[in-house]
Amino acid sequence: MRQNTKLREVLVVDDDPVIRNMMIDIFNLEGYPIRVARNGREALEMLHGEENYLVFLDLLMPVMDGKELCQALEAEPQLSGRHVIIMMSAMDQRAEVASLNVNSTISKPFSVDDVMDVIRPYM
Amino acid sequence: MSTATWGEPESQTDEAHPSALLKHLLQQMMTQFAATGACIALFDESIGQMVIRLHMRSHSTNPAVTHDGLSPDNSDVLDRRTTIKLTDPSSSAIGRLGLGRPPQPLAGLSEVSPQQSEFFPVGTAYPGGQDLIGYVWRKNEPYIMRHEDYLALFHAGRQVPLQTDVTPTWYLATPIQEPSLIDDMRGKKKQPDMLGVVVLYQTTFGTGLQFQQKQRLDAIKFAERIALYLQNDQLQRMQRRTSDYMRRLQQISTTFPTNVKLSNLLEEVYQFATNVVDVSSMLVTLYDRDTNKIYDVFAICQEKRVEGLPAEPVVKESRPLWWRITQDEKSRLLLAPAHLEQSDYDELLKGAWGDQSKAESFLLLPMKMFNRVIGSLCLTSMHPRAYPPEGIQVLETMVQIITVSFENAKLYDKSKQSLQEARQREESLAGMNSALQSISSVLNVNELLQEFVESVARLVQAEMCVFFQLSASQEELIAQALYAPTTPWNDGKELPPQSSTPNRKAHSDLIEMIRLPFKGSALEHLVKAGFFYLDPPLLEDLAQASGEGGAIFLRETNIQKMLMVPVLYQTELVGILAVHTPRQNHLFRPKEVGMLLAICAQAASALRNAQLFEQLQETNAELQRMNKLKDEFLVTASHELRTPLSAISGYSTLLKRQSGRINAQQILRFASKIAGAAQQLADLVSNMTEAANIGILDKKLELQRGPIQLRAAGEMAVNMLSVNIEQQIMMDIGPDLWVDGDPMRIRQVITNLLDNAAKYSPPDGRIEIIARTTTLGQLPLPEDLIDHASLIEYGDGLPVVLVQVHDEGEGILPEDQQKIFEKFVRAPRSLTTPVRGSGLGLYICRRYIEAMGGKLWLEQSIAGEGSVFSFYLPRISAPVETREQDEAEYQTP
Repeated sequence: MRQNTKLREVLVVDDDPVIRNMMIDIFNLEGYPIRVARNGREALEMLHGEENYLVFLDLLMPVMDGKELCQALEAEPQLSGRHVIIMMSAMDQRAEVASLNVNSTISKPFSVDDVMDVIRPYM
Repeated sequence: MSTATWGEPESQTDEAHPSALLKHLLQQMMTQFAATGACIALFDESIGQMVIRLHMRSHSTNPAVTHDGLSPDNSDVLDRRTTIKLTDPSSSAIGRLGLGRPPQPLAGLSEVSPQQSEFFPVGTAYPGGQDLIGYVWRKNEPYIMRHEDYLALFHAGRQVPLQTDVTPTWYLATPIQEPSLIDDMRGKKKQPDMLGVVVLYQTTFGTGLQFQQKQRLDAIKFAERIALYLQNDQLQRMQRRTSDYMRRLQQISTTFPTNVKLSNLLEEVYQFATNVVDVSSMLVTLYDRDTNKIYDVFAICQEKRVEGLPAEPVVKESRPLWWRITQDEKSRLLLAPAHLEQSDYDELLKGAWGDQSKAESFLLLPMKMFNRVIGSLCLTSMHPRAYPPEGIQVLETMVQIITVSFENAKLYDKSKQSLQEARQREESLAGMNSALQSISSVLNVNELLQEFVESVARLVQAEMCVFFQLSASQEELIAQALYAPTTPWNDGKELPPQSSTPNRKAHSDLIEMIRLPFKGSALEHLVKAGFFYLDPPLLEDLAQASGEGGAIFLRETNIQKMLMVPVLYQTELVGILAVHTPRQNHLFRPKEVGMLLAICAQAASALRNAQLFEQLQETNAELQRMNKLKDEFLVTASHELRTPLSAISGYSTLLKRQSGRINAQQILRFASKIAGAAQQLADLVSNMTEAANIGILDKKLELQRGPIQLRAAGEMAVNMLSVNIEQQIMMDIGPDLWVDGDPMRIRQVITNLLDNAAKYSPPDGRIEIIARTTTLGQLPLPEDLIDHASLIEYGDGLPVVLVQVHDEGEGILPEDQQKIFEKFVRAPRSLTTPVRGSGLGLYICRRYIEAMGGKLWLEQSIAGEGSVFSFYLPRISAPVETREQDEAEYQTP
């Protein structure tokens, strides 16, 4: 099942601790390493590190939101090239998300199966 | 007709003709009667005597021979009196009678001067009966007598012999009677007047001829002829004078109305009068029946023009005599002031033209148009009997002409005036029209009112114009627009129509301080009667009942009289327009008031239109804002709903997917997560309904108030949050701090503040909630949040509870510090994104706290160090109820 020699680490970026805690529970039980960030700026720092992340990115956040993070990544192609971005967005935010350069999207609220389906191509 | 005019002062040219004529006639008579000498005396009306006008004598001893064809035989020519054309002024009587040669003395004849002898000297006057002339005059028949008889009859008892240069022998004297035909023509049946007497005489140097008795008849005939000539000549001269008068009168009448200068016309009147009669002083007085006043308009005193007549007219009552005499049916008043014993006529004789009581003659001619007196002409002369009937007649004609002229001029003036009035009316209509147009075209209420007062001020030239609007409560009238270019309210400057907003704002704030009481004041009563004037006593009453602004306005803007025009929309009073003219203190003319009423009616409906338009605009803007808010609300709400839904969905699918692998403890934990999220959802749904109400419709919050122990509320909030946040929350709230409020909302506010603090603090950051008691005056409030009303009402010693939530977050950018409290506004890094479960943002928190009588604010925010959000509520003392009972109330539904 795991094709890559090195498994991508999951990074959940959300200002809502409920979501962050839930994602931790989900990925721990599914057996994936996971880290969290509370906003775009915290996430951007981590993305500058060695690790290649699979990022679950919330759209609305304080300090730096999902959209601003995407724009920051576009300014640094070497960063956007090695990370996978999955935008967590609602149906009504699709238009906003469509203009952003992301790998995939997942709509809130979602099931664990939805999460597994969306990460499959990148793991 | 009398010959009195002979005796009147006349110019030399006038005199030349009669003396030439007399000479000629006398010469002819001497010739016919072969007389050596002759004299002619004419009646002088002014002295009532016969005065010798001419005395002639032949040098040669031979009597003059008939050489001009005139003889007693052909004297029948003289009978054809009716053939004499009297109407042709170009030919003289002499010329027409065939005496074509210039009347020069014939050879052998010369005039006898008075110095030459005492014998019938020229200029001697004879009363009736005196000497031969007076005798013949009285007897009215010709006489022939010898010199001896003459001496015996008229010079008997004379001591000194009569000094004569000749010795007369015979006399032939004959009266000259006024021709009766003229009398017939004039319809007068009276004894013919005596025009004069001719005396012919013979001397010892002469032929020694005697006059024959039969010659008396010839003499009468010749006398008739002389009379006819004289009369003809006189008529011609009168005609000449009349035509001269006519010409002058015409000149006078044409002066009006082209020459509007009264003094020029009256100068001509004076010139005319001096041509007719002797005038030493003249006074023209006019009566204006419109103002009922009398003016002296022109005066000549001793032939000099009096300048600077009193400009002020007098009422007619102050000249009763003048008024009575001019009103009198008699057409004139003729007096001899110098001979008056009493000063009854002083009112007429003294005045603008000096003192005329020493004048010999005074004439007053009233100027009357039908029965209306329009003035008078008064003349005086230093000569007695200066105003004979003929002269008066001519002057009356002239007066009639100038009377008509005056009336015409007045009519002309009036028509000019009415034309001007029509033009003015047209102008004011145009002005009103443009005012109405500009008022009606403005849809901004403030601009409209400004335009309204300015238009009105322009229309009626008012110095101040204020529009007072009736307040919604109908308690008072509040000034909304003021036009007063010269009052201190405008700093002496006219307010430019498009002034910059801040000035305008300050200006309108100042204006709105002018308030007048309405309900219960005189104004409420007066306004029912339509427009009215405020006079000083009323103004003072109002000032006493007014606030400061109104009193200053009423007392210090120099109002004397103020016209108040109610502005009605249909029957509803919208306000009052106050117009006054402080410096002139006059009442407006009915025409102006009419204009004001019309413009007020128009302004009322324009105002209503503008108000409706503004309401419509406001409603539109409100609708747009609501629409935007609805969108924002939906976005926020869906976001808020999404978190608990995501938790429920995530945990429930995780439970299902991992059911075989997870332990009971994990199941319990996941289940409680699901339950918590479900509770959050339930809270959200109930709060959203309310949030929608306060957020959008600004409804007053319905609070369920009661005493709240702050520590209990804080504990509940911390307990709820601790499940979801990483940070530790330190709580320092004394058990004795009680406030009055809605328990659920206070909990929501605290939860919201703590949750925000957690959101922006690092996981290991410290969050603190501290509450302490203080007083209203000691609160660390920002300037704009100081509650002056409460400070005034309760004093700064009011005990309050201050609650502060400290975090160690990044702080809030200065530009965002105000925004975070705005309704549903989402700044780029907004805190207002509604916080999970407990509330819908700082705006709603603030609304809740304010509804409970407190304030909520950002007390401090330092970049990288953290923020302090604070709120206070009035403190109450702890209720008697037990803690357990309170706890029950805090149970979330």
